[in-house]
Amino acid sequence: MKRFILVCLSIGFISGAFTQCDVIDQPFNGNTIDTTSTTQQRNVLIEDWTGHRCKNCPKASKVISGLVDAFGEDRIIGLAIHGRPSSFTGVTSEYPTDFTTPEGKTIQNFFYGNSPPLPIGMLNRENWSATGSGHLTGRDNWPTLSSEAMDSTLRIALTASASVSAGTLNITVEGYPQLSILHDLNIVALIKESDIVSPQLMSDDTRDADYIHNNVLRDFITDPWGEGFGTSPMVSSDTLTSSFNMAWNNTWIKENSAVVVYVCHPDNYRILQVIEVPVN
Amino acid sequence: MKRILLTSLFIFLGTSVYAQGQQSFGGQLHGNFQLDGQWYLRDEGIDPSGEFYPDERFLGQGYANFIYNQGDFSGGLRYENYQNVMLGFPEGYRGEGITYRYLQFKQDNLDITVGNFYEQFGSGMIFRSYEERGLGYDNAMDGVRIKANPVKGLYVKGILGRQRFYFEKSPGLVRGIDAEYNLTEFLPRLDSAGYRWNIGGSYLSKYQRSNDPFLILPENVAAAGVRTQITKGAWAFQAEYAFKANDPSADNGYIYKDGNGIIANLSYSKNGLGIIAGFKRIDNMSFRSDRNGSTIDMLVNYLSPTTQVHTYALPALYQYATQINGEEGGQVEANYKFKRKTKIGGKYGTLLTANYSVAQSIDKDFVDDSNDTLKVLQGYYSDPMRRGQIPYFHDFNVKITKKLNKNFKFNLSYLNLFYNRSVLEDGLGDEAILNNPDNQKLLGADIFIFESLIKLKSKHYLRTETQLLTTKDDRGSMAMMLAEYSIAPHWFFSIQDIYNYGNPIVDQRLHYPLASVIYTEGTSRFQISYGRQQRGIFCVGGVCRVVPPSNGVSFSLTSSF
Repeated sequence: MKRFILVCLSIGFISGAFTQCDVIDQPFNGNTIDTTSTTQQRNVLIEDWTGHRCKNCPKASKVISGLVDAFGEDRIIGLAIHGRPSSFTGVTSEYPTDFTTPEGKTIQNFFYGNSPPLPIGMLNRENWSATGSGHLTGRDNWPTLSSEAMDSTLRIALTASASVSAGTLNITVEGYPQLSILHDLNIVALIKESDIVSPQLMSDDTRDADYIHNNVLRDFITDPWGEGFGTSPMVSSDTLTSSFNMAWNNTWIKENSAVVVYVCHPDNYRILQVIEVPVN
Repeated sequence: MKRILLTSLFIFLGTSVYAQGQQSFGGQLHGNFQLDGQWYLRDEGIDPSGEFYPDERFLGQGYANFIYNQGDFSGGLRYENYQNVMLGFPEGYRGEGITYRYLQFKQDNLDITVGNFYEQFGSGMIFRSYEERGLGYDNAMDGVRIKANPVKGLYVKGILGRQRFYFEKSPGLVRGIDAEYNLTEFLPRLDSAGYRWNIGGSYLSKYQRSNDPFLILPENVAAAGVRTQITKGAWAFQAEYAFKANDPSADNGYIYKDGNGIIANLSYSKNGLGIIAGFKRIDNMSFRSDRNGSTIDMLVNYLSPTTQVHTYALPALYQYATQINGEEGGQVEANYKFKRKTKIGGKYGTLLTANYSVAQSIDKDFVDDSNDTLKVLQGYYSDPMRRGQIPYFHDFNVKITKKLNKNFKFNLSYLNLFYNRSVLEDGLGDEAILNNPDNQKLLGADIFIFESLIKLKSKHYLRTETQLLTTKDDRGSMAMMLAEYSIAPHWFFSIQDIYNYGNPIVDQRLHYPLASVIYTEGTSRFQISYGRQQRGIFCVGGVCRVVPPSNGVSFSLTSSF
């Protein structure tokens, strides 16, 4: 009898498992996503470490474009960072364009390490820790994590403008805390370019000579780790301002370029808000 | 300075010898320790652009296990450190901390573990939690495990927990039950007839929250398996069948198709003759506690390989890794020991072993892209009675092991390998290959190996290996020579060189020399090596990782108490 009770207890403990299986007949969500709201909400920066000789990287780029289509280009901001390893990003006669930047490599080294598998990315740099890897995530996680990040509370709203005048790119940014913020804030501004036609290795091991590279990181306007933007404490009636400038590089096509501005926590690098503005 | 270092090392080794099993608080404390490190040197020959040369120059990692036993109680922990993780290991290992801790007690046919544990149901087709340190693989559970033996012959296990994901936890919950029944204990007539017959069954479900904006993903995914094992005399048969419900994941391209798999083995062993034949077919059996996981992360199950794992350096460059999305294949191995004092057996007998294994894709008829819903729900249809079209791997090898006299024995091996690099190195999917079969990168190779062991004098041994890999594919042909001199029980010296003389790129026809010294004292072992390591794929049990090329001085210290 005692043995029988033991069996019942053991099986009863995990018997919940027996009922746990969801069978799906209709896979598509079918939910409509409201992209008409004019109130600023928390946006998502997807830092996509990529390479033109990384055959799975176009799939990650496709995920970003799918999210932009679904949520709008204001809410999902892609940034393709060509860093390392050079077996994915290096220049060869078949892949002649050097998309790498020293800052991109610096960021990648800090957040990932010596030989990262690509593609991989970070969404708003959530969950960073010095000993963990929870801030790194594969492309298949991006829809879910984007959805969750966009549903989270906006702590600071941003507006910005960017224009080129006499060969200089000028950017002004204003920040409006939406609630009390009890830590300092850093601000980062960078420039990215899309619609760049250059060869890319594809997932079937073929070379697409006319591949269109989007969201390519071109340069940082500020230090890549940011500059001081707000000092704790900040309250919702505050207005924070910054302005930056840099020499415009004429090899970049202005119509295809955009300035990305984000505000982050200086200690854990979490991005509180990100916006993208065209270059006028 | 050198003297101080050597003295410190030997003091450490010396003290550890006398510290076997510490008596503490009425129980016994034991454990082990390992520390590995490498000082990397810039080598433009093997890494022209320096992409694998780490910024840190020196990378080191290690671990220590401490286990305490007292009566029916045991507990333990493992501390791990990565400063920073060495090249070739998953970059997810960052930092340091206690990654494994548990308490366990056994009482009244109950065995209860809380905290971390490793466990396996059957062959592992629906659940296996294990560690393979050489690969950097560890999917330890963190939760509760109960094992019970309620009636004679019946063994029940229940598990509930979350898997390890480097220094974090998987987002998915895993819960399951396994039961195995020894029919022989229930039916004495089977026992008296010489049969041993076990049957078993498992059920497991994982839960992972879903917030996907596009797809309705199953948050609870179940898998089940049945198995049997029968032995009688020289014969043994075992088989397992597993089924998995819809589990869209990064591995399968988010299709909702059910998965299934079957593994069967038949063996015979008598009078110096041993034969084993195995068959495996798996279809969409990737199973992770995180549906978005990749590489070796958070695998719930283990699909055992049906190909031979080689330990010799050159064939190990082209190891087969189980294709979790689908594969079919088999293996036949026969060995026969020619008796002593026969014409072939000679004075000490001769062992002849032959092995053939093959793996290929399963039949897949992909749903047309124009039918969105069916494409996502089903992905493809597979007829188990039809053979797949894509060859993945084959390995035919034959080996003679012979001892000529009391001071000399040798192994002579020949291998013929076929290796689909597009599938096994580049991870190209079946659909991409079927759409463009001419784009496959294939490798065919013949490998010859001669290994000898010579006893020079008491406690002095010389082991040599001569290997030749001939191929026109990939990096081309290679030759290798190795000599190991050991003075038992303390010293071991090794020197080897691999020469990639057939590399189609003339500049890459490089030597890969490596020299090692090992000192062993009791249960402690110190190794220092210097040389080049070429890129390759390191596999254990059908799970593989890519190893980048490197050059430098490496050391390893292991000890147990």
